[in-house]
Amino acid sequence: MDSGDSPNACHAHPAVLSWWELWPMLAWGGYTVYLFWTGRIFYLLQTVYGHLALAGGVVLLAAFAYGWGVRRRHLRAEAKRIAAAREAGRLAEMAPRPTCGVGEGGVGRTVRSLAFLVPLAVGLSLPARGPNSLAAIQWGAGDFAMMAELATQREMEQAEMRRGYGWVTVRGVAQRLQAGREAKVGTMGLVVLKPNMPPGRFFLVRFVMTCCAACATPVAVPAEWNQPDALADNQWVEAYGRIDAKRKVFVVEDLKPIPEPDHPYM
Amino acid sequence: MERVQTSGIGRADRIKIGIFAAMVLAVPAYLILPWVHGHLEAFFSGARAQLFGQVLIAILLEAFPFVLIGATVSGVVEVLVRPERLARLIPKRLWARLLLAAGAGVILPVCECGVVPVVRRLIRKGLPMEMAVVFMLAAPIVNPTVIAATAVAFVGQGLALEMTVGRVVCGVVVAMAVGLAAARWLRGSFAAPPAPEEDGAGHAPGGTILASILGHVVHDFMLVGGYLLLGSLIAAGLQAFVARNLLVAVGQKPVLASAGMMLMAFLLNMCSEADAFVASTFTQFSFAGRLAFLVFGPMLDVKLVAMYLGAFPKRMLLAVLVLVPPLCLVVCELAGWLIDVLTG
Repeated sequence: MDSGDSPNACHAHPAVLSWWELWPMLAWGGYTVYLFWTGRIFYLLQTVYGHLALAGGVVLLAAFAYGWGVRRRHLRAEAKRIAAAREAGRLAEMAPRPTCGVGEGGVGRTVRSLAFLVPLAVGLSLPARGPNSLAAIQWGAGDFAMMAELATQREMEQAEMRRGYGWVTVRGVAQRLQAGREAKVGTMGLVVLKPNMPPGRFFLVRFVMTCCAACATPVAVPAEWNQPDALADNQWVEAYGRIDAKRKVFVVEDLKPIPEPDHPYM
Repeated sequence: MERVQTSGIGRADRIKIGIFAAMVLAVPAYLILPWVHGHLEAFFSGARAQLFGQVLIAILLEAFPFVLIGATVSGVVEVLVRPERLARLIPKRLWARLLLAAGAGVILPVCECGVVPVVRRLIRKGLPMEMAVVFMLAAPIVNPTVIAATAVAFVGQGLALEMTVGRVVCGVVVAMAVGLAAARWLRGSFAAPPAPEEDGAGHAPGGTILASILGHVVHDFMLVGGYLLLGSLIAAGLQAFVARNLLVAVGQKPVLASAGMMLMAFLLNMCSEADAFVASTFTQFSFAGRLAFLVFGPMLDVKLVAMYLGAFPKRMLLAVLVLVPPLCLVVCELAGWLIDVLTG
């Protein structure tokens, strides 16, 4: 237990925050607002949680502004007090009074404050995109019976016709595949090539996110295409084809690489 | 108004020194930061590093508003709640204390991240350890938002009532059992007296109440946030390097289903307000397995263990680590069997 770390260890003086406490609030608040402003937050968080994080970021910025104001007023008052003591020749009163704050508390707390740099550096270096094909493999694309079950839980999606194919999400394809309905469909998803798959076979994947990217769940449709050399792992594609209910596979007839959509999740 | 000379260096000189220092620092910063950023970007363009980074930032971003809420409640408790008033609210009888602690989450709704600073502060205010343990374990489950989310997630499968009642009852039973053990075996071993307060409540006489609350909020946020960061780093590493399907393979064996689901909950670090929607998709698992996922997850996961480590006495953490998994397993299996019997 981190004992004796209360800011109230110095009760006689108001709680004045140090820069070690103030800067993480400014940095994290600013980073969250930046992520929201650029829309990148929704690659990492579900909409509701994204807005909650924004609210948290704004509160952090407000807390920083208030804490900084308190600190500034305190430092000015201290400066005046010390100057007055100097003028009056009261040497004993010239030492600065202790303030209450994490930063004043020792090396451990300074290290903790600096540790907030790590996720900031990581976050600012990440590309703006959703989970990749490795995530799909790590998190069980094509292995979980859950994916098919997930598909059957929901109502069948109504297909909108595009190029003579019914346009649905990957979940819509999974639903039809699971229900054994032969249909000509088009969809959009991430190509995932798992090791040891036969040439031309792949998974078409999209992720479902309930709270954040850490718990995103891949919905994967087994697919095949007769041009294996044109398949690239981790590439977003529009795929048109037919559902082969007997073989439980989506047979792709046309496939077009596309950039990652703004909303990669379902 | 007369200007006060505060030191040997005047204000204008200090501004000049500041500008000069900024210029001197700006040159290496201009050269070094893009170099560092370029190398980091190249590193995180790799698939596994990218996955690690995404999970790390996602967990932190998701959790920090809740830690902030918990830290705010904790700051308000510290400043405005007097220990003697808290002491008057504590019942004499052990069972009443445990029940009160288990039910307190309904009126003080905090999730598992937010509960840590609140419980830490309540312990320092003199809350008995058994009540602290029960509140900490039960509050994220009896939280009204969590109850509603569980019901909504399972309504499509016709399991809303069974799963919601099962989750609340099993969560409360496990929490109270751990609290009972803490009261019987660990009492007095970590009776940390509350920090002495000059005016009974926690705000310093020299400052405003708001400034005092803010001081505590920031302090708790930094303390718990530091451990959250540690937990998130471990969780991100596990997510990036351990395949989930290994757990599923374990969990599909009937006897091990609940254990596998608990391990999954431990590694996924999900918010208790959203985990029911994921659990509802694990339809290939037994009712007991999914229930264990929902009961165990808000009590223990990777990031929570790190946060507990920084906030509570080691023996309390040890008691939670040793008692919660087996109790959760047994209680959820029993609940699953009971539901099977009742529903035929």
